[in-house]
Amino acid sequence: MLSLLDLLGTIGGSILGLPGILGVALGMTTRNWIVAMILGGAIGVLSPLVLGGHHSAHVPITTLEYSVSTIIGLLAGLVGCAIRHKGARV
Amino acid sequence: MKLTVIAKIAAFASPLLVAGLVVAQTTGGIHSLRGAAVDQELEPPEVYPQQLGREVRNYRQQPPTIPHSMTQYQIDLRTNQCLSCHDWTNAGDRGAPTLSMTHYLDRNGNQLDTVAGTRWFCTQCHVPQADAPALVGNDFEASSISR
Amino acid sequence: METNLGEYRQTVHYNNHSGVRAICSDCHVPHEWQYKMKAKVMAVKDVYHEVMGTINTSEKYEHRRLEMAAAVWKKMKATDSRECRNCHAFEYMDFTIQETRAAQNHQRAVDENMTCIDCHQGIAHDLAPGYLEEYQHVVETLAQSKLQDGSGGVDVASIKSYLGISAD
Repeated sequence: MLSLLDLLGTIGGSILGLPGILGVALGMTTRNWIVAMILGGAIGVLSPLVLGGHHSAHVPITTLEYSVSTIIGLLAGLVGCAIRHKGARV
Repeated sequence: MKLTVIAKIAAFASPLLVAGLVVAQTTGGIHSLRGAAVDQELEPPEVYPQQLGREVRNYRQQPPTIPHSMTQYQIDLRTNQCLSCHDWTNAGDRGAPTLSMTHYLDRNGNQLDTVAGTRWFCTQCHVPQADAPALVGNDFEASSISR
Repeated sequence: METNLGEYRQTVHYNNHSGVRAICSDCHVPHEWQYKMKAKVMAVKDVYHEVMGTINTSEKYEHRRLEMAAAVWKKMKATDSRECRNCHAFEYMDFTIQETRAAQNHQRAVDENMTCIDCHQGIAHDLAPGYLEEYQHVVETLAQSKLQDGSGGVDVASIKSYLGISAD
């Protein structure tokens, strides 16, 4: 029960955080699906490194957290790319 | 007939009542628990800081005083936080004095593994130590000194 | 949410000599954006139970007190008491002006990689009976899940120090 909530929270946090927002933004910079995925994925990989951790506490970033952030980054990149495609056709 | 009797009683009673009220007001006086009028400022009580180091007992059966601050410790029906260090299960690990084994005897003299309910509230006997003046004057002499 | 607020108002984080006061979110909401968002998503559960009245009488509250406390302990133990350390860090402590007992135990905590919540349970809210055993249980289950996870996650601190970007 709590672990499901934990997973949901991690996903939500990633969507509202750097991977989601910057992923969409970077995805929108290109029409190439592959490039968008790579850019989004890169943000997903980088964001826990840049924003994770703490100045004093030793908070380990779990593999779950890492993979969720990467996947969300990828998806966000794709969403951004889709927006670009849609926008281009109007 | 009846009416005049009632009128007579009333005539006696009402001055008596008024007189009684006047006497009560003038003689008794009302004292607030605060000890001063509402608009008067009171001297705050002196704060005596904690004494460090373990105090020597003043007589053989004196409950040892507490050489550390314990204002924030929860001691109630649910939890006794003192026991998180001083219970026999934790004392060794935390480097704290263990409760005397008399605290694990219930009132029928049975040995228990947990603190007896009769000994639950530490601060009934043990107090934090501070070099404060006695609240009530007394001529107590410590048996540990006089002998 | 009224019961725990009332209890909290009796404690040193609310009433103290220095006049600095912590509020609920200082301890219960992380500062880092992604963890903050995560905390806010997870708070949906709290809102749901508040609306449904799961803990709206003191009897119900007492019944669930240990369970709720254990959930927060688990979070704090897993994150190395991150929210405590926004204000209290070992690096900022002067052990020489601490009470001897406190200084000794803080030194021990540094040496043995302990975290704040290992000792300081119940500083802001009342404790339920059997809290020590429950905390022990929380620690053990966390250690077990870490063993099963194997890798134990990614060590950000070492990567950061390798890259030369360590946050203060």
